[in-house]
Amino acid sequence: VDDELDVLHALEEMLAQLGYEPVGFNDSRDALKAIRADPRRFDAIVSDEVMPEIIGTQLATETRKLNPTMPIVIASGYGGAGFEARALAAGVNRVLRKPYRMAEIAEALATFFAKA
Amino acid sequence: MRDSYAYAAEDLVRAGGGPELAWEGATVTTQFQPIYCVRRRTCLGFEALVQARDGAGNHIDSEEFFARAHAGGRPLLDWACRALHLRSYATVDPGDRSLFINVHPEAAVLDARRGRDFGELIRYYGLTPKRVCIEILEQPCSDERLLREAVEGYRALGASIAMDDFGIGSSNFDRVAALRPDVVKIDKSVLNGASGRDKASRALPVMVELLHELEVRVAVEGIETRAGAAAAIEARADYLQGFYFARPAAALGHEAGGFERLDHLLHPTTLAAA
Repeated sequence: VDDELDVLHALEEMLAQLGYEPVGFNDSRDALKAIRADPRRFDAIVSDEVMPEIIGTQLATETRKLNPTMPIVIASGYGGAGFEARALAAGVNRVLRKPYRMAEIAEALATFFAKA
Repeated sequence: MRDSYAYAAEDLVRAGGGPELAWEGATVTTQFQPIYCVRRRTCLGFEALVQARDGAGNHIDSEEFFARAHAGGRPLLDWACRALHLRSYATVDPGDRSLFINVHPEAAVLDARRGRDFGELIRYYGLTPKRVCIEILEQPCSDERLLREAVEGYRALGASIAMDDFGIGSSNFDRVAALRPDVVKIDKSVLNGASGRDKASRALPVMVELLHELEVRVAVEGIETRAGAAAAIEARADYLQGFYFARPAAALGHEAGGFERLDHLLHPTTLAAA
């Protein structure tokens, strides 16, 4: 999930290269709608934090109510002091600093799926 | 600062046997085609071209390859190809020739809109922007004003600017006036017309003359025959490129054969007398 369409395409391409089947949303409200419609449809969420309407940590909070176990990764370029703690409290499993690299996304997701 | 997008573009390029780009099931590598300077009889530089293969190793036509990329992914593919070409060139760079890199207009617009620094990518791979010529492709653009801004940005880095495939698509005199390129590359369809005896054969020299009036240097590409090369020289083109002189290749050194052909065209009697 990322409101910047080109960054979203880049993320989708990276995830596809890593062997995942990404579904991109450039509006976090659409992402939440899709999760509500079928809370088991996705195996994980990778989302930007700063977005109009629903921010990444809000998306995480709402998702947790529907699916307590789904891994959620939030990337943020800002997130001042305390962002990580706030994100983890919202149910986020992992915080990535933007700009992130493919290896970091790969590593973050691999830890979740290795456990499964 | 680089963003995740720019990193993604670089991360899609992998080491492999040499640098290669993995893109939606295809593997892409770089090939270099020499561009010759008529006046100096030297190799000005190399155009970086993609060679795409599918999973079974079959060759994919490059136009088809780019056409397959959906509109939203095209700028990312453009950036990933830039990273691929720069990385590939770094492994063969002779140190004194220019590298011509194609840039899609929409990708250029996105560079301007997002403040993406192509110069950082160029320097990362050890080249100076001065030795890079950015070829703006002939495709239409949603925002010609931003395209102009992007081109100004590339120029400010020290790169030179070329317009590709002049004579087709949006590569026309309007764009020459707007972008003020250093070089215009004339599409091969104009050259093909030049070999006939009809009015179309006059198009090439007239076009070259007009572009020279605008203080633009002119390259003729897609030269496949001796007659085509002679027509381009007669039309007073500054630069020549095509299979007749040298095919695209992964390594450099193949430009040498083209010198002989160029020499022979400019001084046809030399060999005959020898």
